[in-house]
Amino acid sequence: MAQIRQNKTLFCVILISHINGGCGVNKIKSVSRVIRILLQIAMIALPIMLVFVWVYTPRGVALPGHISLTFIPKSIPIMHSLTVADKINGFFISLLPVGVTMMILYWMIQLFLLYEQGSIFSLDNVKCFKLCAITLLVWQLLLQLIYQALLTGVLTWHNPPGEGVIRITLGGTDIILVLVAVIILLISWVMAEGVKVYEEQQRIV
Amino acid sequence: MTIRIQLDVMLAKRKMRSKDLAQQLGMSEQSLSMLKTEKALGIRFATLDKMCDILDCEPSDIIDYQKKS
Repeated sequence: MAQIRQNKTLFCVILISHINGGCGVNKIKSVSRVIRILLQIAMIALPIMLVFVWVYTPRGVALPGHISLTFIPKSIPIMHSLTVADKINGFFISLLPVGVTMMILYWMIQLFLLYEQGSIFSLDNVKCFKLCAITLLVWQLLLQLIYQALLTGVLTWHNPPGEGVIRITLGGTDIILVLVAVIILLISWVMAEGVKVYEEQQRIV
Repeated sequence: MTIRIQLDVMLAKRKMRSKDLAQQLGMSEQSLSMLKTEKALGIRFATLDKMCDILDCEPSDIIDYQKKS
C-alpha cells in the first residue's frame, strides 16, 4: 500500500512539475482559449438552431456531406402534416436534449476557463469532469427515455387511429455512451485522489 | 500538535528576515510561512540541513517537541 502511494505521489509530482515547469503552459492557455470560445459559440447557436429547425424545417435541413439537421428521427412514423401545435410541442420536448447538451457545454467551458487561468490540476477541474459525466449518465439512463416517449407520442398523436406510437429505443451507441460516462467518472475520482496527494506534497517544505 | 517550530526565534537571534532565509533556501516565502505557522505537514531533511547551515544552529533549535500534559 505504501509502495502504491509512493508511486502515485511520484507520478503526480512529475506530472505537475512537467506542466507547471512552463513546458507548454502558455500553449495550453492559448489553445484552451480557442476551444472555450468555440464552445461558447456552440452554446449560443444550439437554441437558435432549435428554434429555426422547428419553425421552418422540422423534417430536416439538408447539410453538405449528406447530413440532415433535424430533431425528428426518421424512424418516427408521422402520417400527417405537422401542425403548429405539433411544432410547439416538439420544440418544448426537444429542449430536453438541447438543455442537457448546453449543460455539458457549460461545464466544458468552465473547464477550459480554468485551463486558461493556468489551473490545470485542481479539484475545480475534477468537478467539471464529474458533472459532465453525471449529466451524460442522467440523460442516457433517464431523460432520454422520457424524451423519446414524449416525442413519439406527441408527433404521432394525430396519426390515423391505431397508428399512434410511443417508442423507446436503446442501441449500442447508448451503451457506449453510458460506459464513456462511467469511465470519465472513474478518471475524475483518480484525479481527485491525485490532487489530494499533490496538495499534501505541497505542504511538505 | 506537539511539534513546535521555533524558526521565528532563530531568525530573531540571527537578525535575519524570513524573506532572506527563503531566498537562500530557494523556496517561496509562502512555503516558509507555512513552516513558521506550523501549517506544513513535514520538512525534508535537505531543507532542514540547509536551514541549520544558514542559521548556524541545531535541528533542535528549530524543531521542539513538547510532551502532551
